[in-house]
Amino acid sequence: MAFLHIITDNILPLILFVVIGYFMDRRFQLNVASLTKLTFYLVLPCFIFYSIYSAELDMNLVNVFLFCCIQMALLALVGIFIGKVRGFAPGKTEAFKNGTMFSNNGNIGVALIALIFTNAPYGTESQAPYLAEALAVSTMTLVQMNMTLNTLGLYQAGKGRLSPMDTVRVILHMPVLYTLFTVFTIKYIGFDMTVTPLWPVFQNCANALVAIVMMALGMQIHRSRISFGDVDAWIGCFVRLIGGPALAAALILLWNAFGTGFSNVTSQVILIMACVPSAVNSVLYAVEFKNYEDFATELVMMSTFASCVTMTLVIYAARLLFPLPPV
Amino acid sequence: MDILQILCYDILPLLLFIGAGYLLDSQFTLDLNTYNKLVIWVILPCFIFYSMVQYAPDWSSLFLVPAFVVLLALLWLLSRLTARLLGVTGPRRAVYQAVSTYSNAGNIGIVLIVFIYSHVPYLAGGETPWLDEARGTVVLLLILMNIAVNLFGAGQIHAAEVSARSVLSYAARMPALYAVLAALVVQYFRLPVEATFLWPVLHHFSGAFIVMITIIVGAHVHRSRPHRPSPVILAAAAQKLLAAPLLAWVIIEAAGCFSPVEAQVFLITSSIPPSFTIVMYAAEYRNHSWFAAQSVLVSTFLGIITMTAVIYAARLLYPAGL
Repeated sequence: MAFLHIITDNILPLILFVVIGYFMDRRFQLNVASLTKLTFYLVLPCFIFYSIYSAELDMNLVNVFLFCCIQMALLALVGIFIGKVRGFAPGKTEAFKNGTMFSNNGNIGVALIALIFTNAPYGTESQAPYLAEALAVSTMTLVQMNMTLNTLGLYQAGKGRLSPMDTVRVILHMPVLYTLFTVFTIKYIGFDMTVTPLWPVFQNCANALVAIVMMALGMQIHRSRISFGDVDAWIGCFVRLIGGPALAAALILLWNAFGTGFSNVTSQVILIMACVPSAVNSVLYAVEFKNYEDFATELVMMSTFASCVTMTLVIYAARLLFPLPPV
Repeated sequence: MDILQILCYDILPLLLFIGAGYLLDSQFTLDLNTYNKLVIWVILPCFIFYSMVQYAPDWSSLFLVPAFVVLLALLWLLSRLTARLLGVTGPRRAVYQAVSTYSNAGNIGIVLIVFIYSHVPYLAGGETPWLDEARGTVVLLLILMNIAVNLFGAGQIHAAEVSARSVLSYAARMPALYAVLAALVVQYFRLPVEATFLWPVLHHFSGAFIVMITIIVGAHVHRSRPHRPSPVILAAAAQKLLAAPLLAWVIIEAAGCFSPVEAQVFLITSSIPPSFTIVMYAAEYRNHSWFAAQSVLVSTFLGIITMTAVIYAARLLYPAGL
């Protein structure tokens, strides 16, 4: 079963980093801020630059980009609604939104898509007819995620504690926005970055991101009280892992009925990308702005564990809803 | 053109990383203890394991070990001689000898080697055929260097006796050594680590390694204030940056059994500026730490020029390209 590979090759390594971070912090009393600063000011900007610069964007897929934005906006409304019903403090609603709107597309989603469309029934060792389209669509959703998570997500985490103006001021002091602006300008001009001395820096930082971020998460887990019994975190998990894909499926069906319509490959990819667990960065943002760190951590960890089950279901549902001829 | 290439793709990226560490530390005052603990206990052992599993040495590669020991011994004797000539005596002599002998193989050395063998002329069709051997070689030298700095270097700066027992007990506490042993076991039994979930973990850690260790160097540079270098400091720099690669070249020629890549890595590693670990020990034992910091800083700056020359010379002397 190909799906087991995702658990062993993509989820288990992430959990191992977390475990290492946890035990290192228990043994040595480390400083999480030193890792988050390194991430926000060097590693993450380089990663964003590297991943967007090397992504081959297919401009025909702009509607996928728009679709993802609509989907995200609806999830935000769901978050606000649940916050109202459960009587969350404003900061907690923002943390809830960060944990449900954004997902770990980069580490889990893209790998999942690549695996699904190179294995039976949609691919064999010699041919994978749907792979090119699937990867193009997943790249588009990844870029959309990177852009919104690192701007809007940051803003939402900050808004939990600060006034909107102060949050904007803090974000303007961070390199993320400028990185996005620069990378799109450079991509538009068509300048070849790979021949500059900056390229090895981007490459190495992009490679470093996962290990540093996941270890920081492990340390944060060591510092926070996680019970795995918080009802609100379970609701968040449900919204992210079941609500997200259900919403995506309904939207795709609507879009196919009334809008321009997606091919079945594209529909499957969008649906599967919608079932990935919460984004780890939301924890770093919560730590940076001291906005419900424990809740954010709990949401990420619980959804990552629970996704091992729910992702299988969604992949299966995608095959039933948007059938493709087996290869 | 080759010189430009070395500057552009090896030295400049290294400086950019160090610069980033400098800026980060000036803005946020990083907690270096966090980085050091992660590097020593997790990231370095993983990197060593990852490198050694992919390293397939010949029997002749084993000669790297005595050759490196001879190099360090010769540098030690040379610095003793120049210390007498310059009138450096007492506890300061130990620091002077340390900054003239020990390279920063663990930070600058490894990063340079990884950069050098990841681009043209050592890149063919997206593959890096020399990287495994080069990385394995530099890891071997790094382990020897770490033992030397942390035992003999620290011992002398502390004016303490270095006994065989202290060497063994230090080695036994070194996570890096266990990483090598684990890699040997894996290689011997041909265990398929590449196929397990550990492989992506190791791969990601080796990515984090480059970033962490260069940031550490940048933060160290930020914390030491540069002053006009004294003749003694310049003498130490000349030995570390010029005499060391010269001696290394003589040793390689005398041994005559190294592969071109091994010879290149040996030569380049010998030319790396002294290690910030020495500053740490000098501060800890209150033995001329200002002098140690200045020496390391001056050598690191001058090393930018001399390392470029040595990398270029290594290419000419021991051609290994495609």
